[in-house]
Amino acid sequence: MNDNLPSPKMPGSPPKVYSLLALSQSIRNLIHEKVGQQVFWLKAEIAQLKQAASGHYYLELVQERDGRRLASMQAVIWFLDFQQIHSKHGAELLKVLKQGQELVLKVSVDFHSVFGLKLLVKDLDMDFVLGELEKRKRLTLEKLRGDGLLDVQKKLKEPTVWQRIAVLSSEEAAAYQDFKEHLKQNEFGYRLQTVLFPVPVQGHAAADLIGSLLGKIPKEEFDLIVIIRGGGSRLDLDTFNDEGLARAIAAAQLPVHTGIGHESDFSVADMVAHKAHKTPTAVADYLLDRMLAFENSLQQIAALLHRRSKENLKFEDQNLLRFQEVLALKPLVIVQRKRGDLHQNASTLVRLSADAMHEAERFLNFFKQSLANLSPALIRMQKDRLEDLERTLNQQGQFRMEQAQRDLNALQERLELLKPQRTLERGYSITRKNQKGVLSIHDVKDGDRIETQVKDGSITSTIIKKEIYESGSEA
Amino acid sequence: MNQEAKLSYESAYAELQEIMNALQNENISVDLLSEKVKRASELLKFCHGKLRDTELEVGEVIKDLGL
Repeated sequence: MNDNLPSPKMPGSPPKVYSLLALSQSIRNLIHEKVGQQVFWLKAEIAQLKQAASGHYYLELVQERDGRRLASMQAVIWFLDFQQIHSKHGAELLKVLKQGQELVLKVSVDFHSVFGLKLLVKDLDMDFVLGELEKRKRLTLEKLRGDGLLDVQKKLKEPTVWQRIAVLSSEEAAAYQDFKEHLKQNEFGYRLQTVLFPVPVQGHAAADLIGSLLGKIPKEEFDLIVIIRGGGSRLDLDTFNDEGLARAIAAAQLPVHTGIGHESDFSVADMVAHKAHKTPTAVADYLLDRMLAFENSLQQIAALLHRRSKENLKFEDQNLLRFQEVLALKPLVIVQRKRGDLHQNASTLVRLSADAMHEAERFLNFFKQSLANLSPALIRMQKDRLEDLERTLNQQGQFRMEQAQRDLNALQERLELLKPQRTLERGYSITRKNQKGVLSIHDVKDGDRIETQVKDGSITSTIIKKEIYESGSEA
Repeated sequence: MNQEAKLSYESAYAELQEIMNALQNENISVDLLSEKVKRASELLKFCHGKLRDTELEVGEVIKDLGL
């Protein structure tokens, strides 16, 4: 490069003085010569950015490492170029043109005599931005996984049906309107109570806002928090890859469901949530499906209930039928059997009494026979015994008679002593009436004829007077 | 009638079963037979009625569920 610079050719001669313009034109020529209209892909971070009234963008590009600035350069996107880039990348462009954004830029180098060295931005690599976004998303997910935050929401208990729903969305957003309409216009007539908590859904400030709001929703009043955001670019949806927001979702005490973006999008918030749905209307469908499933299960239970109770009743009915059959037959059977028993008893009675009579007769005959057989022998035996007695009597009789005689004589003597004559001789008398001794005054009455025996005769007298001694019968 | 009003299906059924068992086993006195049979048929009628009422009621309740 030095070759092209104007340089003193002759030593000793006074140094040539160039004008500033000449020098800058030389530098410019040098640059043109070396790089010309060549373009480079350059990776740098936007340190500062501003759009001039003319529509041009002025940027300060930097390269830093560990907070130390290693290089810095001014860059510009001319309005014409900007329009081209914008039409190529669309609205995305505005999202990446921001302070702190690292970009891969297609640049050419320009040196202006007045404005100096500048990089002219001709294009930028959107894939790089998205790649970086993916990388950051992956890192965030790993971090959350490491902290065990991906499963926290999934462990929350869920009700059978979700009825009271806190919706975090931008109020005017079509996605929220769709969601609301979808819930309202369901064919089953289910009514869900939704309360909107309006939030911005774009940009990092939105992530912070949603995050702090999540902690404030009263958990007693709601079953579920739904975060809704319609479709958008991946950069738009990057809000929901915010680590702070993800941590706020994990910390929420109510289940958080997400319905963010389109079918193919998935965000860190989706991963942390209790359940992620592909779109806002998918959330509404899910809530209605849950209701429907619950109602279906109720119907099934009701049908089961009906069937079971029918079966039960049928079972009971059959029991009763069986009883009825028994009741129709058994009593008659019992009566017949009893009657049979009676008949049997009666004939048994007849038979037994005949038997008994017969037996008695047999016994009598037997006795009669026995008697007939035994009688002569018995009589003979009795006769023998009598004869024996007679003999014994005869033998002992003589002796007994003599003895008796002797006894009689002895008695005679004793009787002699007791004879009344002796008493009479001692002066006593015996009074008799009709040959019977009078012992009491009551034995006689006036006019009675009594006989009084004395020692040598008897006196017959008639009673004239009786005198009764009061104290006794002794005279 | 007062007694019938207090009768439950369970108690009626239990009593019925008792009578039925006695009948089955022919373990019932002829003196009591007609009385028991009469009672059993009353109980049967009661149980049948209760079943029919219950069936109707269950049907109503299920219908009321509107499912």
